[in-house]
Amino acid sequence: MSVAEEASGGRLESKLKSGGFAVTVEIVPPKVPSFAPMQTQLNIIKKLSEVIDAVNVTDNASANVRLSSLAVCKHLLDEGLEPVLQTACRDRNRIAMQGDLLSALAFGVRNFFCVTGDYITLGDHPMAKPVYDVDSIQLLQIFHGIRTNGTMASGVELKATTKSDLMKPHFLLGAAANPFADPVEVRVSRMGKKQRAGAQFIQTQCIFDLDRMREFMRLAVNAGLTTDLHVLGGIMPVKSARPLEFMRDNVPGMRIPEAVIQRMKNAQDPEAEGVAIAVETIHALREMPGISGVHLMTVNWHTAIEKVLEGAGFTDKGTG
Amino acid sequence: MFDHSKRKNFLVRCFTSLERLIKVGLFDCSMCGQCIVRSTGLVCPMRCPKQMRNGPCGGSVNGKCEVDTKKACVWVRGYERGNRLGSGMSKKLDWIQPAVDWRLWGTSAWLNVAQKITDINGHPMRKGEEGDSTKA
Ligand code: SF4
Repeated sequence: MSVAEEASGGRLESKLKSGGFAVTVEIVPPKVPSFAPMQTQLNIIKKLSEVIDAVNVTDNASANVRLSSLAVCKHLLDEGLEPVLQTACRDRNRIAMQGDLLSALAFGVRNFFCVTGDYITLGDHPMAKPVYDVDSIQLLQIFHGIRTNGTMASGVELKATTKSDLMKPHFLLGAAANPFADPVEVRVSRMGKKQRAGAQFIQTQCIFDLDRMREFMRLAVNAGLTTDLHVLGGIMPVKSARPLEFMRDNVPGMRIPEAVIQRMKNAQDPEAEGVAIAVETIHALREMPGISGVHLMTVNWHTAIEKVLEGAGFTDKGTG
Repeated sequence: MFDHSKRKNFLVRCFTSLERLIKVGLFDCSMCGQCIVRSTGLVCPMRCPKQMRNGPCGGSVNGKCEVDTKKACVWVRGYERGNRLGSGMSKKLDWIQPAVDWRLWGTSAWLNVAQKITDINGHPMRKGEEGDSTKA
């Protein structure tokens, strides 16, 4: 039986496999039926497309209703950008999630990112039924089975008809890790499980506590996890101390040292200070063994993307 | 909730009720029908609001659950107890637990092992399973 295989990977995959330092940016889709609210951010990303390898599209982030990740990924493809499709197990069962994977592949999406998803009561529809048919690790396993064996979670083969060739689509699989949740050893072992389940890259939670990040990476490197797994450090530039305090108190699993909050409070120009902290974090990550890139989360402050990448020296020639 | 075949004979019902009585008392068990507490530090992972079967989510901080910060994260307790119970148990905590077979919800996990519907580790053996997931 011949095997139909979609061989070409994306830019993120080649960057990571060639040992380069990858840069990805996060898009949180709008809450209204229009792509227009994303346009400013898209224009900035397009302007920096030399530097930015892929754009990660969140899936009903923080359990709020938004444009679907799949629709926004298709829009990004049309705009000439490389998307990463996030899938949260909170909202769909394995039938729907595999269907979305196949649809996205048909559109030409080549990067997938599996999360379990923030709990439903943290979002705008706390009365809805949480799904959690599978967890993120089981979803990685299911997607990995599709690309390695051409079979779905049920064992059903990817064939258009019984006489057609078996299809084994080629794509990159990623997952999240939170070095700042407790206990740190369990975080490392869970990252190892994600790798065994099929993850090739990891995005971490936003890094403000560099000491904890170093400790996490030291354990991960010692466990041999980073030879095949590419870790992208999460970077979130902030305009003032307020969002930091908000996240510390409201976002599950965030660790923000008091020193960082004080530094933002005392700053003459808080915006410049926020960019400076992000740039320093990127510099520290570049020195950290096992780190393969950064993932920028700018929420609504899109001009920060350019400032941070410029500050970190990416916009000059010969970064990679 | 997901027990698709409601028709069970009297003996099966009695046995299932007995298992429910014991395991709800011991583990606050949800009767998922594919028990893995022997690999999870004797803590039932179905107590987790997200029913995570492979360790704590990224929202677990200071041993507390992201959904209700007054409650303990079941997985923090699972890892603590698991590691106290020795290296055999610690190793099992590193297993990847396969996706749940929801057809077994509400049935007796003990009968399912006896009937080879799951293996002794609570991993479904029927057709249509991912299988081969215990490799550490
Ligand atoms: S914090 Fe622990 S108990 Fe709460 S949802 Fe996450 S894994 Fe489950």
